Amino acid sequence: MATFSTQKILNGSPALIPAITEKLTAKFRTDGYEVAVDNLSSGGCDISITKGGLFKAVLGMKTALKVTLLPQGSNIHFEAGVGIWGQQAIPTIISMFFLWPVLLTQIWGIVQQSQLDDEALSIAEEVVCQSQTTTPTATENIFCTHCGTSNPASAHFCCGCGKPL
Amino acid sequence: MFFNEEGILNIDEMVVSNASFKNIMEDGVVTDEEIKAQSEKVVAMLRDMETKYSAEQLAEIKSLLVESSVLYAVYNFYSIQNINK
Repeated sequence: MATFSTQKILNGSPALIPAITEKLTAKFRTDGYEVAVDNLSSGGCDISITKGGLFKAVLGMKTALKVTLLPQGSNIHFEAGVGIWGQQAIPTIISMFFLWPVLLTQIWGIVQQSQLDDEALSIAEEVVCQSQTTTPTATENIFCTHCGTSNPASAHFCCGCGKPL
Repeated sequence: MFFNEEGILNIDEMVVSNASFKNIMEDGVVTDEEIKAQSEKVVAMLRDMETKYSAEQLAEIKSLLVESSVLYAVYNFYSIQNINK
């Protein structure tokens, strides 16, 4: 439900999901939040982030910011919304609660006001970005067949001998 | 009364401490009889209000019930709509 969640497709390999999870966990724990991680059968991760006073308990169940990371082809689907601590889905008794939509809207308002969803997204994007700048690619350099000089992949002429590459 | 110190609706806390809810949920099973009894209780309360409150007060109560019911109905429709996407 996009109205009550922040969603984005991250252009990074699903292999980065554990690294993103680790970084999110470390950052929010450092900031005094309780964090719980559930690994999903799809290869994704469900991360619950909460703090007393910020997230209201509903029908005795602790609510949390739920960050879900799912593999989507060669990318990662990021979603941050409101849910129940430690559960992979909102239990029926809560979702059927007559005034749950009001509570959901109010709690989501607090999350957005404190920009927790944006913070989680920027951490995930940072991990993806770092992996792209540090991972060498096969097309990073090409070698001149005349003199053997290493050239950037985008070069049309050899920077050593000037011959066409 | 309706909101806690953070300005969040605390109706769920009232539900958890409500005698009817406690009695029904005590054994972890909800029976036909319990649903029927609770439904009758709500109807009886509404009938009682009709005799006690002014037309203006009743209009406010009615408006709240209708608006809440609209929210509940459209939220469920929205949820199903998103599942079917």
